[in-house]
Amino acid sequence: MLDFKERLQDVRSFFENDDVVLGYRKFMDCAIDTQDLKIYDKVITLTDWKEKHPTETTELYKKVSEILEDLENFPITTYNAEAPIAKAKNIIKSYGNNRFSLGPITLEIKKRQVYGLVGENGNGKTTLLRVLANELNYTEGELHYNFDKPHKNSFDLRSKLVYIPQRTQRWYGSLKDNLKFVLSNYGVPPQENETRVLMMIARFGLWNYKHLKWDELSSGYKMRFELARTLLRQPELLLLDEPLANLDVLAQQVILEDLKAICNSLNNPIALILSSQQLYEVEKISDKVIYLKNGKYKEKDHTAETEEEQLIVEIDCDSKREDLLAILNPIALEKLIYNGGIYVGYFSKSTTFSSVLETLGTHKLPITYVRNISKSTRRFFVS
Amino acid sequence: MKTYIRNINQYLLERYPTIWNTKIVWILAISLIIHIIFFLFGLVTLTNPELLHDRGAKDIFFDNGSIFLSVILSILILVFWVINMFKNNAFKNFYPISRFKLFSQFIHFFVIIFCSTTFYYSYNLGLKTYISGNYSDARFTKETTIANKAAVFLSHDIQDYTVNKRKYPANIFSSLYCENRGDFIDIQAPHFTFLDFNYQFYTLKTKTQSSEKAYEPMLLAGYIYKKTNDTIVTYFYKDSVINISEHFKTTQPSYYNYSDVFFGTDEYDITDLKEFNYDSNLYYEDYQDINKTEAQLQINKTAHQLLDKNNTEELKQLLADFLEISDIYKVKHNLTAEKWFKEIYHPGNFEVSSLIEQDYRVYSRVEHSEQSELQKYNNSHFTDYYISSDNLKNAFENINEIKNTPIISHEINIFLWLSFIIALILFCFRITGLKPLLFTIITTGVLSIFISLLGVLFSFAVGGSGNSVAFLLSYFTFILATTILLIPLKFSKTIKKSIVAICVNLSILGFVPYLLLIIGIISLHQQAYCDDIYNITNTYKDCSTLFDSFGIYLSYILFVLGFVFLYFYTAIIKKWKALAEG
Repeated sequence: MLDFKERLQDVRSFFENDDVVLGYRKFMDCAIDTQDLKIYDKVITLTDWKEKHPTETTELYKKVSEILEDLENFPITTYNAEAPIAKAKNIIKSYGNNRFSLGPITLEIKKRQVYGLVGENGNGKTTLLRVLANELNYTEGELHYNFDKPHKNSFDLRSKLVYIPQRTQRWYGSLKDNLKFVLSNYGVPPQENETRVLMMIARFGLWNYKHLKWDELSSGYKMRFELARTLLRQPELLLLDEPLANLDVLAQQVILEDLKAICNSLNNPIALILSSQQLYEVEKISDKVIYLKNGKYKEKDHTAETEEEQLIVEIDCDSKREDLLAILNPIALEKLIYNGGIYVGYFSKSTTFSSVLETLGTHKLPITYVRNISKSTRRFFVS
Repeated sequence: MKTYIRNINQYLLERYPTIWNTKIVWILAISLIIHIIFFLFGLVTLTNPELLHDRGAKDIFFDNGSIFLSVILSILILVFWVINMFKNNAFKNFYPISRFKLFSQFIHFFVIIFCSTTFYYSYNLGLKTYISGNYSDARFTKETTIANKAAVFLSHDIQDYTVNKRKYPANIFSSLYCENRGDFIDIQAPHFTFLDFNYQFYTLKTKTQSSEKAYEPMLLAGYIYKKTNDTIVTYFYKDSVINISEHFKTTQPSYYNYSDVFFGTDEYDITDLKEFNYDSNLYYEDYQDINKTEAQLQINKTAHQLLDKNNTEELKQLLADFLEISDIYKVKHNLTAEKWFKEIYHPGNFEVSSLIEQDYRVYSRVEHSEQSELQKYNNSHFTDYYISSDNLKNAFENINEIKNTPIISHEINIFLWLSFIIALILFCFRITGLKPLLFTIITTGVLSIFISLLGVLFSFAVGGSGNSVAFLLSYFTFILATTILLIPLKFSKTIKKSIVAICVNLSILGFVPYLLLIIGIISLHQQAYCDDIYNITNTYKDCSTLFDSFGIYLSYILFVLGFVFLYFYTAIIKKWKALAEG
């Protein structure tokens, strides 16, 4: 994890490499970490200027640099996210005899971690999320929360467990008013309300949409609004059900990056659990992937070494099975299965991915793509 | 203006999210404007005195279409409000909300609904303000005094001037009873005759009895009337015929006999309440009469003084003043002071020789053989003059009523409860949602049918004994209601959230009826106990139940308890909301 100064340097390098959009988002994340309203005001003014002068990137970087200098001197304390904020022990949720049953599931959820919840439809992703969000009762097991601010009663706990369902609820009135309503309900002083809301609007790229209503926003912006609203609530645990559904590829990437950034805050990290069908995208940002199959789960830790060392490669090509077998058998192919137009090859431990690529390249096969899925949950879907 | 509204909205949004959300500021502002408009409507409604000619002008709100305007505006405001208010819901989104904030939402609902449905009061305030301003006490007293004095000469009904109407001097007439029922006249004894009417004066004797004792027919039958004073009931009986002809200048109808009160307030002393009893007469049933003895005496006395004085100028001026007042109130007539004076002025015994119509007579009076003596007399004595004096009388009564009736009285209970119930329903909808609310309505219906069927079944089984059925149903409903109340309190975690939601709604909506049920059960027991005592000892006992003891104040007590309950119940509401499903 980068410390604050490294993050600021990171922002500079983004700008220097002309990656203004991402650089500006990271810049705002650093500004948000300060929780300083004066800095917020500066960033808000700058965002307003930026939206009016979208092409003047040099001038923008100059202005960003000035604020970055201010940020340099900010004492940012890094939050220690080692202790789990939620512990689930052998949780079982049964819908009745001979009906779907989830679990037993044992989980430890820590802040600054993204948990990707994957699995085919009807395998209990939403059920698990709703159980963790206290929306759904579990049949057996234990579930404990250990938030920084202890909850006073059950309603208080529910207000800390922010769960965003797949179909977000319609809201009325302007986007900005809805965000302000959140803060005023959370007792934020009136003089801070506008600034904090505008900062969040700026962060999620909603600057030009702040006066729009629900039906005037696209699905992507509706999700951004939900994230802005959620972040204003300063949750410690965030549960998202299919946040990428109905979003185009670009919007998916933006949302995922934002989610990762939210999670990764230096002084206000969040534990995030999201379910999705977009395997690769989710795996890319997840620290842990929870794969659910018939209600049972497999946890896959990206950081730890996995037990399975077999090389599994996904190959999309028009060649016949026999041809592929002939080509790949010499490099210790153990199994080749055909799944929905895509081949999945299982190789021995000794085979490397580069040797597979080399073989495929040498034989000039008409390949659309090749992917190493040895560590991806994708392997569970194709097996 | 738009900026101004936006600025206020932003101010409220940042500081008082509940106030911003419930839109109470705007709805109260709109309501205030409409209240002012209704006040102005009320202010101008009675500017035409002709509207005072019919009785009940106080309730003109219900007669001239204002009520429809009021109801439509109330509905429009409430719909507009509900649409705007439902746009946001902090509770539904699990934003932190204190019990007080949740309760204050309900208070906002109540205040908004109450203010948007009570234009009636502003209208009445307008009426009262106009009437009090335009008809000052001094003016009103002066006009009614003149009217009461001049009403002696209205000459509408000859029977107002017969000897039995005589009240003055009081020392003679207050202790006598004038019998005018044909069957009870002793023709042999002194009596007066006019047309086919006979009038016979009697002295009175009395019997008294404690009011706590039951009426004993054997001892007390045959009384003319009775008066109740504190704990003593005095029964009056005819004693003996008395000849008082020396007190009458003429036995024919005369202005000297007139004692009718043209306008008087309804205030009377309880000792003046005469309860007539004509049980020995087939023509009449018992009835009560507010005896305005004192007022009638004064009218009769004034008439005597005026006629004895025989000052023609004073009389003419009095008639002129009355006609002037009639003109002010737009009362129709074809009289002048001179013409009227000519008809009534018969110095000496001031006998009534001509009659004046109440309304303009379109057809001429025709005599025919089947007419009574009185009708024949009327035909020959009615002139072509008319004055709609009843309209003036009504106008005075209306003015007096509007001036003296308080704007807010017990009917405010209707508005309070209406607002309370609507506010509760909206509150239930807001906290539990539409589906649980609909299921609550269905559940209420099903339970009601079930209880009714149980009642029918039980009454069939026991042979229709009213009291036992009432007890069974009350206790069954009580047990059922207590169970429903206990579910959200004690068993919320073991029962499905959606069912608990119905119980929460039923508890919120049904708490006041629940209290009413408890009071009802206590009252039933009190009544049953009372009946038992009566059956055993056969003595009458004051059976005031709890309902009777509270009276109208029960409504206010329940109203306050409803609010108190809801405040404490907000904790349960929050607990229910946090429940997990499934």
